Amino acid sequence: MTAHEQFADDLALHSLGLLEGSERVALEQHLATCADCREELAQFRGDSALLGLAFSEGELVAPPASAKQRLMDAVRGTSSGSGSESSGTVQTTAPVSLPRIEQSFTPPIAMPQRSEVIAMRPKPIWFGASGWLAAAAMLVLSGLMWMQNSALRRRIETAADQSAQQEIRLTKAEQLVSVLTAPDAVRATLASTKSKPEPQGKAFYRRDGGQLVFVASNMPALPPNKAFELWLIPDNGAPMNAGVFKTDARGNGTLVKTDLPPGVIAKAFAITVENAEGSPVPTSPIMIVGAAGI
Amino acid sequence: MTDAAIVAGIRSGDESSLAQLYDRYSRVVYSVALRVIGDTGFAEDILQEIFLQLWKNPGAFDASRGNLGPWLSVIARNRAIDAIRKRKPQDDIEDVVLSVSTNFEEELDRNRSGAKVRAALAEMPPAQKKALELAYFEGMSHTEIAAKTGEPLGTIKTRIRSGLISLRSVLAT
Repeated sequence: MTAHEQFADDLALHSLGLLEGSERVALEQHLATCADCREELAQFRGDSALLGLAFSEGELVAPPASAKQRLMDAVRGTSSGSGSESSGTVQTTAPVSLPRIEQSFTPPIAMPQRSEVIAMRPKPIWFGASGWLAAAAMLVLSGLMWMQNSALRRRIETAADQSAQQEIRLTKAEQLVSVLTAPDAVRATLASTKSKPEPQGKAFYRRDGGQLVFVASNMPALPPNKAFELWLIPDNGAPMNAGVFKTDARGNGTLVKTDLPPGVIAKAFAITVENAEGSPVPTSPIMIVGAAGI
Repeated sequence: MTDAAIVAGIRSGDESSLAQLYDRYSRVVYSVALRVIGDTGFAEDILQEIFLQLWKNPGAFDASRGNLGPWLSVIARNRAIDAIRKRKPQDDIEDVVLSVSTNFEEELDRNRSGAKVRAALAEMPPAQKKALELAYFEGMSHTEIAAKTGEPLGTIKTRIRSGLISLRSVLAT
């Protein structure tokens, strides 16, 4: 992928339909002429779709059983792809007859005839008095089966989630090893700006994967509620927060990041002392700094 | 049967193909719409709209681009956001082009991929996960999220982008 880095954030936002005004106009003009960025936009849309596909069995909600019948009633006698008028309940509640959803769709929340829509849904069928006993028995039986089914589903989901988490941890471990051993890993040695004591840090960074391992030693003791913050100083732009860490009693600490924005060219790395939760921008003098180099 | 084969059936006017597709994806479409809009009636209307539109215009789905499930999921989300924003749809369904390499046609694959995405979300820094959820399920703009969380706009933008990329990478493994 060779999408233009300057549009990277905007492509992600546009994939979610969040970009507006001049930013949106500028990006759309660029997209008209850039196949790489169009591809990246499609990728981001695909990524966002995963959020909607991440529901567990317990979170997925089935539509009412009557909804399928409504749909099939509405399409019956209507040719697929014809764009011709459809008949049925849905057509009367919201115009769906035109082939393009932009023309046909009325946001349901704005529909003034909401009560009509509800009224048109199929009414429940009430059982006769003689069926009550049988219905009650069925209800109890269904309830028991449902509980059993739910318990089994929860166990399956838990097992699947645990398996997925282990797979992710293994992948991360493999990524870390590859950072340390890759011939193209950037290495930076950071030294104190003063002569003594001599805190040191080593950064191992792969820009393509946004992966970083930072090992610090001889770091001074931190004031209460403070932490060391590592900054990735890009070739172009403001310092980026690359993570917060604390050290042990001997002044040693390690920071591992695998989710930095990929593709950022590092000019240098630096450490400042910030509040324990980290800061979006450096607020204290640089303690140690080192230029990046292969 | 593959999604592409089912869509081909719809193209030829086979109502049972639409029913089959509905059985495969109606829960996902309905659940996404419901999560965004929070009303079963509105969610059902969106569900109906989307499947009717696909029936009317099956050519809108480009099978060569990938899976139908993610495509329907995105359209459901977008329609629901349009609805809560009280605006007309921002995109034609044929303009919603997305690229997903993972297969979601089989329930087993969907469950496995879903578990991996849930695990990735569980491991994501809370602020990043929150930004993604506010953007995706509530349709909040980066400006609105920055105002709500009190964080710099650039931080929110980067969080959303890197959050999406980390979801991509979890399925690439």
